[in-house]
Amino acid sequence: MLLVRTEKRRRVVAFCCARAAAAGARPGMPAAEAMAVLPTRGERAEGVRVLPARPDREAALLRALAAWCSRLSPLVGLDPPDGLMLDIRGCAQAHGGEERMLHRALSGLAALGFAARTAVAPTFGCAWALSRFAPQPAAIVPENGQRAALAPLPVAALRIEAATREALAELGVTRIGEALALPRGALPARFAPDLLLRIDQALGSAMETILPVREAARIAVERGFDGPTTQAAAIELCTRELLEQLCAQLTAHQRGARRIEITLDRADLEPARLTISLGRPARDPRHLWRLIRPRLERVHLGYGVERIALAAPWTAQLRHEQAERWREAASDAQGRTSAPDASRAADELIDTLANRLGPQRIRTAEPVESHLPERAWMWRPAMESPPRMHAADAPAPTDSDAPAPGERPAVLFFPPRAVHAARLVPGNGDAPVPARLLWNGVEIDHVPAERERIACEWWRSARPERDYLRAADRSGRVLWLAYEPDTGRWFVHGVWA
Amino acid sequence: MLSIVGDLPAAVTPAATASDRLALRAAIEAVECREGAEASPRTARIPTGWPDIDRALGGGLALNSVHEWFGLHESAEASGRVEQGGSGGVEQGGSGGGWLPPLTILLHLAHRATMHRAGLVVWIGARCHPSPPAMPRDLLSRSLFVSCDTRDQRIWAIDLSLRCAGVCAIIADASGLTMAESRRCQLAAAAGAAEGNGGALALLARPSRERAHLSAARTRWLVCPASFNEHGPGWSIDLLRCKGVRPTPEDARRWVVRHEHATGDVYLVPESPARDGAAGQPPQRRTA
Repeated sequence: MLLVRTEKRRRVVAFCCARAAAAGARPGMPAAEAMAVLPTRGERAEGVRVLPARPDREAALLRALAAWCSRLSPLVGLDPPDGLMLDIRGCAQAHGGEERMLHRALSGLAALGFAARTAVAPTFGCAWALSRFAPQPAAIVPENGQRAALAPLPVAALRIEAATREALAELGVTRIGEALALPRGALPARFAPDLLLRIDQALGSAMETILPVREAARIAVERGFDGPTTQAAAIELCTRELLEQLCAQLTAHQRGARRIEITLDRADLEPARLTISLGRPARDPRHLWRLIRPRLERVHLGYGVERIALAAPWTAQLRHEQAERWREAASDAQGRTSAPDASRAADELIDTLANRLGPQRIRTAEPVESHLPERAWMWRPAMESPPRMHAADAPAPTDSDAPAPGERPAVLFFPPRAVHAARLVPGNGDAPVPARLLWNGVEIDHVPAERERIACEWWRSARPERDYLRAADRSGRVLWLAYEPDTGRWFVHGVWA
Repeated sequence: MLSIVGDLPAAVTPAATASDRLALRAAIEAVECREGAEASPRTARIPTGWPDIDRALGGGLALNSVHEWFGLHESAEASGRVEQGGSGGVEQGGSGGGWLPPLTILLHLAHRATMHRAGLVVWIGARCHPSPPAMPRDLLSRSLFVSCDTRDQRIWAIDLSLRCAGVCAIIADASGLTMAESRRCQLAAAAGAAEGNGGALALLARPSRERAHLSAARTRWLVCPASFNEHGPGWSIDLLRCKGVRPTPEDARRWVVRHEHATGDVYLVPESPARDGAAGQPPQRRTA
């Protein structure tokens, strides 16, 4: 198998499997060349699979492998693109020695379908070199044995850059043993500084650390009952206690929940699942309980609930709040709530409304640039774009092109209401003036001559253009009338109510 | 009143904390409100921006109570509806036939509220959602639009928003509100004003045919279209009820406001229409 990436408009082998490597393919060689050396036809019937390299998926896979390796050691570092570094200091005893640990790692990875090469060494640099360049797939270097183990390996095993490698090759230095024999004092002057650093790291005279991968902790709590219970009070109490535990976990991780899932395992029924979504991360048990309780009350308990589980599958960072007590005291003294409290109260209001009525029913409006009055804004769920608390936060109006708010009616009809027009008489200009317009049985008089023509944007669907005018009916209401010159029809599009 | 005064010594001790004092003050205000006494000057108010009306109200619309606004835009006469083939009503809302809340005036009041206080403006009920192009930008960016299916949901949403400290104005479709629900809203408004950041301006819009219904609102207003001219529509505003204010002659409680298309302002027309004739006479006589 070959994984191919495109590099400077050439297709280059990024990775190859062991069989392809045995046939002569190497990472970095042009894909066409690799295909040529591979025995695709003749003795092998199955051929070669060539797939595009997907760095994001490979990185995700490496991360998943790192999670798997956490059974060997708590400190697993990534070494992209294809390596993992494990700090196994003190871990080998738990696995019965380094040899058995290596064996376990190799057999476990082989069971997952990975052909791995491993090495245990006193330094990360040495282990790196041996795992990639040692002849055997599992090498173990004893304490202080780095120099001897590294000496026969090529200088590429030192993790040095290509330019440094070439400079060493000019001197005829190809093995690490020869590089180590060079006078140390002359190295910084003649080579890039990475050579000395890498030598020191491999030998252990310079520190090297790894950045351990931390798996995102799953924040979840659960509790099982001895037997199924249908007592709503017991279930409520239990859920409330679990919620407090969950919030304590969130606090410990400095996170707030964006979504909480509650699972009630019911006897003889499929589990009941409730999902609470939050517009902003939250971990206040009182607020969350207010959201959960009405949902919990409506769950059909069936023959009884056996287990309750709460989980926060989606969380976001939420720092600790230092001065909560202080703020409470301050708000007591003044009898007023401070601004952050008001903002939090508004968030909680949006959460509560959205969880009961549905997130699509709690909306904010965002102006959109369009001439058509019915397309001049867009609804957005308030959970995603919450409204602002202060006028100062509002964005400055950018488009001076938009009509003034006073020129648009407060009530807009969807779709525009048809108006009964009788006996059109030709007026001045080309627009005919109707003799009589009736809407809801009330006659519209005061039809002014000045009109605002609003045409549909040409790239949208063809809607006939309309002439808009403000007219009043006999009762004094001011209507926003629309006249379509193409069809000759009249509409009421809005009212200044 | 006396029974409360009898309870006072227990609360007013040197050790009484600030929160005790606040609770006491709220209790006294609740009693005063119930007794219909002169509204206390401590009650926060939102000036309407109309000088004569503010004077009549004692500074503006009080924040610790609800205000009902009756729109007269009933979906017209039966004949009109037949002619329209039944499409005369407003489809946005639920049951209750077609009526339009006085949204231009409510928009103006909500905008005044945002100028004086921080917080959200909550529009409850699809019928009460003004069209966003008609809203000033700063008001639009602070607006939350809530749509409800049923009357119960609407009342729940009103109650919840009234108690929320992060809200500065609530404009709600309150059609079909019973006396008990109206009292619930009034209590929620008082509770929100007592514990939150001073309360929110609560404007409940109702169809004018519900004028005869009982309600616990502090003020009730009737809006009728009147005296249109080329600069914009006008409305006559009748203050049908105002608790906590000395009674004034009936014709002194009617004003005319006008919306100016060019500026978007709603301003008070200085001369009173009641004196210069029946230009803005509402088609129906007042009953409440």
